[in-house]
Amino acid sequence: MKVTGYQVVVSESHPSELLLAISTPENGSVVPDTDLLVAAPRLPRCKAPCTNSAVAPTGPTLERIRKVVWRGAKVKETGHRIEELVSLRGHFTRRDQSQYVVYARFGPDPLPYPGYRSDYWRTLILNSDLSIVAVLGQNDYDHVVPTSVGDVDGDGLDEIWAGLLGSEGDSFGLFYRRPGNRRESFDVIKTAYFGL
Amino acid sequence: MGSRTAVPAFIVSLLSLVLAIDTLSPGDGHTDAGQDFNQTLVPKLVLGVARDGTVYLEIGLSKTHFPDLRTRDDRSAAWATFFRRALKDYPGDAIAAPDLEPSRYRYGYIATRADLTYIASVVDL
Repeated sequence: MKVTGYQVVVSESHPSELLLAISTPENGSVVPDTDLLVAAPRLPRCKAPCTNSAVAPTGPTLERIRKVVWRGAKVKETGHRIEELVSLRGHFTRRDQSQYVVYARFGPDPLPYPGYRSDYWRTLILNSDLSIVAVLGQNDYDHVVPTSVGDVDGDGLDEIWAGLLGSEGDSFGLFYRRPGNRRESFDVIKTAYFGL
Repeated sequence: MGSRTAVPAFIVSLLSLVLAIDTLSPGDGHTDAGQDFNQTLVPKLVLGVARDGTVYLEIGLSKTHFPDLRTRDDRSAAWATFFRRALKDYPGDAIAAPDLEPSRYRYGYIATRADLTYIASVVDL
């Protein structure tokens, strides 16, 4: 593939111009449609199965996850409950055990504004015993909703692919472990925000 | 036990892009497992989308050519400089960009006589 051109995106919804490099495949390769992809000059060769995964826990594990994510949630209003729960299995800080990245949205969503998301949510990484490893976010504007996990850098740990969904716009991001800290923490690389 | 849902084709796209970017910036090998992801890979990562066989990558300005962009004003000034130099015939040469999904890439224009050599020399790709 090669870069064949550049495109500048401007709109009232963008705080500034966005520059896109336009690339097309060579040698008959095909790039399927996707809302988020990663590129770099030298990515490690992926290991089998070489695909992202989106494996959700079920049964008793999922019920325990619901309790863990509700416990400690910063919900100021009464009558709220878990309206949406997304949970994916992966290896985020440990290679020797399954872990979970979990998003929960606590509703109901605000009634006067159809499509607006609740102010209350949290996204956690949990160990296999469901102890909290790290908090990816909570109660901020853009909800961190994981879509799949996959090992980009070949270190045996998964990065987290997520939608960053606000009530008036969104972007997409890749969460990766920030090494060297005593407490586990994660950084994110994200696409430009589109919205108001 | 878990239920496997549809897996997005991110990695397929990613592999294709490895070839693309290697072609643009030849290297002497791939990142080794165990290297510090933050030091080796993150500074060069770019994100984007793929639509109808075309890949759109969100790119920034090279720190080599535009150092010390610390404030919003710094960045605005750098982009203004870039656009003056790169899009010298704009808006006379502009055509509307394809109506893309996701919607964040709509409303663009393509400057058909942009200085691609200059752009390639100063963007972070």
